Amino acid sequence: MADAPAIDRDEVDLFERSLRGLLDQPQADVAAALDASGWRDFLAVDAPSVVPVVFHLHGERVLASGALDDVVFEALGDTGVELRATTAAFVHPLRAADAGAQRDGDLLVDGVLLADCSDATVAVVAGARIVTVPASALERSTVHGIDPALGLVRARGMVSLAGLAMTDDVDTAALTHACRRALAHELLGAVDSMLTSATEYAGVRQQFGQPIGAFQAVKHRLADVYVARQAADAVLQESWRSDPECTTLAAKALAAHAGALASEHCLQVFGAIGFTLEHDLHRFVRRVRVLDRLYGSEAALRIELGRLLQRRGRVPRPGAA
Amino acid sequence: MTGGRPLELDEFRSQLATWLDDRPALLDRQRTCFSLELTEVVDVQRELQEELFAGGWVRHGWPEALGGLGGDARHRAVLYDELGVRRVAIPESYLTVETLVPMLSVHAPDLAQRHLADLLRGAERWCQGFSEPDAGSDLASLRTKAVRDGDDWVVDGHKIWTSQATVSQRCVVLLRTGTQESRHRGLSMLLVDHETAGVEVRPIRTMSGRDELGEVLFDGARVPGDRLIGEPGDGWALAMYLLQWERGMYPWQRQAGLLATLDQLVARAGEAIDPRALADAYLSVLPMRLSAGHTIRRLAAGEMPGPEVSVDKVLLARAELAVFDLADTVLDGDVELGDDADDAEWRHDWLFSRSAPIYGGSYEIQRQILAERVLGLPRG
Repeated sequence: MADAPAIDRDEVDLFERSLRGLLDQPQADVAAALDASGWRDFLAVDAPSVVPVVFHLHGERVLASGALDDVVFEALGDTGVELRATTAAFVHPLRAADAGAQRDGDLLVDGVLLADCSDATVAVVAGARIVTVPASALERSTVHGIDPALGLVRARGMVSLAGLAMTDDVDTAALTHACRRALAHELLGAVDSMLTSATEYAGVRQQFGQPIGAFQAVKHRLADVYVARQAADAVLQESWRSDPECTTLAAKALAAHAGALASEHCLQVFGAIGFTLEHDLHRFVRRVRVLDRLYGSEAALRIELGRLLQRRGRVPRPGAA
Repeated sequence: MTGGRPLELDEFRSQLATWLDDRPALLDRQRTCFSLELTEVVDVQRELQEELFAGGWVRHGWPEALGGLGGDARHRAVLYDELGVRRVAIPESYLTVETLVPMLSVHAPDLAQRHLADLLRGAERWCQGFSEPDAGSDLASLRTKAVRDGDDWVVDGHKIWTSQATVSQRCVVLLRTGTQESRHRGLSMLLVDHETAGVEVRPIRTMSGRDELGEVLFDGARVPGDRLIGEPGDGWALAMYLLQWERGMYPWQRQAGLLATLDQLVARAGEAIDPRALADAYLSVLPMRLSAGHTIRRLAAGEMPGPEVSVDKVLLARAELAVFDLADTVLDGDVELGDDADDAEWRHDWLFSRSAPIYGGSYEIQRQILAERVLGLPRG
């Protein structure tokens, strides 16, 4: 069982209210709002209480920020503190594998930065080590892709390891677990926004003389989205408590599944208006696709989880009564 | 282990684990007791129930006032989990104990106190008479009725698709004591002995090959007034109360069984299983385990979770189908074509899994409940 939270429920609520308030300001800047809210300080003392709030909010409002870098530094403990002094950002993987790989004295890099940082040093996970690389040594290009609003920067290249600083062996698995958890919260934030707005619409949009939400076909679609988000959430909650190797894989795969299902069913409930750019739905549909890619897509994570189950021989049973 | 305080959960778990692991022969008989005759299965399961009762294990989780040793539903959940880890099926009769007894212990403590020990030991089994030929998903339209006659109730009607009816001695019957038009307001609940004159139980043949279901016919059956659970007109509220327990504990019991089935498939096929398919099946069970565990903790704390527990039943329906479809893939034809004893068991289990989206409130009704009562969509 996890230790008692370092900050109590009231403080977490206050933090959430203040962050929402800051974001509600006209032309609010997400990074500035996070700074003003004390996010990094809270993260340092009680990640399990504030990561869900911040990342759910990112999903709910389709925000973009460097908060995932903060989560990585935090997950690395003392090493993270040291790295923060010398590096500006992390290269995050787009697959279930690390962003970096060592090969014959070289470091192969392929991943994304949350924002460009041309003159800074960035950190790349390669196995149990973290290598720091000048961003200028990597080929960087802005990712337009399906969700240009996210502002990711693709970072690729092959750099000689000679002369690059590298940490001792650290628990890089903890970093991956932390990121999958955060991204799962973000995915569920997006799901909740889609579900809330589609449910509202189904209650007011009239066809055949009644709200379309009165039809069972519509009800079942939205109930399925709710079940998918509850299923993901049950595993995500547990992922903060036990067997993170299994539960964070499972939680992100299920959250991505909920994201895909919400995209499909909510678009269907909105009908044509949901397909147009007049409506916000497309922003969520796009965001969910990209979040699915980071740290392993749903499909990749399911295969990885299946292999884990085979290795363990007996399937994990987290969450004792 | 008699008297004194119940064991703390962790202590309970570790002592129970040791006790179970000291009894390989007992557990092995449970693992090999499959039969298409339900009576044969429950006879073997009774041996385990007697031992669990004598050891005090199944008395944990029930109030001392009813003959238990104290503790709460989490103790019971731990027991089911520990059986599952050892690939021991949970005795059939504990499925209905978990549905009926929590309701009885609140609304008819005298009845619960009188019968709990026999139910736990497997000396008797009860069933739950809800569905009728014309009242399935629309339960509130049921027609079986009870009319007061002096201190007694006289019951006429017809219950159908009742699980374990043929191996039970008593039935908790949801019936009408008001007018037909009164719908759910005119319902009450009675505990009826199967040996009562005017009660007839008939098996129903099912596609699984085992008589899992029965019908219970009432023709002027006279039931004493002290068998009324709660007050006249309480029936619907009692049924709704009981369903919360059914939604929490039945999926919990089944996750124990389904994860054991996955263990069995991994042991059998190892690397030959498609990892993606294995993960899909596991991911259908894991959220159900965690969600049902959450429901049980809320119930144990005295909360009333409400309509969102329908999530657990939706997850259960999918998990049953997913796990046994994976089994069918791994077994590669044995379910369809095999004729040895093992094949018969897998075939039964695969076929029985097909009923999961129907029993205990259909897949469609659960999603309608979620849409209307949790999401707030208009009733149609």
